[in-house]
Amino acid sequence: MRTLAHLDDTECATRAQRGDGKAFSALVARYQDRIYRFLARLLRSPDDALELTQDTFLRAYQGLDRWRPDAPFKAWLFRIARNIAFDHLRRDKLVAFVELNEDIDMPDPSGGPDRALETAQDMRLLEAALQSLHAQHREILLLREIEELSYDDIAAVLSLNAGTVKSRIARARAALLDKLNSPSEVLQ
Amino acid sequence: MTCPRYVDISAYADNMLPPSTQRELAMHIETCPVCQGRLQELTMLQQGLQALPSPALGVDLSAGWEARATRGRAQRRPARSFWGSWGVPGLAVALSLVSGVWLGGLMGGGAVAASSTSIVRVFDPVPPGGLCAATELCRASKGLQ
Repeated sequence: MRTLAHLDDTECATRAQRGDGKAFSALVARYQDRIYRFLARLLRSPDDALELTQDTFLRAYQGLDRWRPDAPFKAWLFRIARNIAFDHLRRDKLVAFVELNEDIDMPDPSGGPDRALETAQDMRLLEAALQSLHAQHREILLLREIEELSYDDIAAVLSLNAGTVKSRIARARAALLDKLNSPSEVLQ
Repeated sequence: MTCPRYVDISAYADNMLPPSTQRELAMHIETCPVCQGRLQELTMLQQGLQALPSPALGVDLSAGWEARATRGRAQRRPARSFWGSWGVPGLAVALSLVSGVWLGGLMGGGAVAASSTSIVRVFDPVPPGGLCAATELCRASKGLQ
């Protein structure tokens, strides 16, 4: 079986647009773990994440005609996953959606971890703090810190301008540091 | 230089500032313990988040994708035109209606020409063969003189 691992995302997606099932299969293999990881943390439900990961790839396949090579495939795919996840959260009313106010001054976080987060307990605290964040803060931190997307790609995923991405990332980090500073509230 | 805003230190940690601004901040942070502390917090946070154990998918979705993709392709077939979708059933319905009206027209003469007396009889209060208690009333109700 021929391998398409040497082809970049754009080449694979272009071939998939022309009906090459193996090229799309290569893209699924490349991104399935990342999309699942992103959805599992965003939704806080591994079962829902598995189902929505499959939905993401199916919807991507069905909408391939709308993808354009000038947009990074990765950002396009994460955008689909993110939209599916937020539709799910809204439908099931799993999260209260309050628009984030990006304009108010951001106070500096009141002192974060004074040492590296190393132990299993630290990791548990960090995971719990991440889960307790506002969904829009959680998603932007996942995209930046875990998936390592650039600010431009995050802007494409979330339909924001680069300035808002920059300030929202900073706010999300400040919020997470504040949570880490109150472990008893996070872990209760 | 006054201390940069937190949002700029955050972008500095990501190396996402313009090169000249990035250099300016580097020079400031080198001499400012407060900003050094903030940057260190952010760096620790980044390292901690990247070290979190990843939830594992556990299945390979790509393995069965080609078959699934084929089904998906069937689902994303372009929509048929109005005449392609409804032309044949619509024509069949129209033909049935026309033939119904035509056949009705052929048989319709007799039905429409039923006498007014027979119509009245349908609503006669005395069933056929029944006894009439008052002859003059029965005559009147049957329209008989």
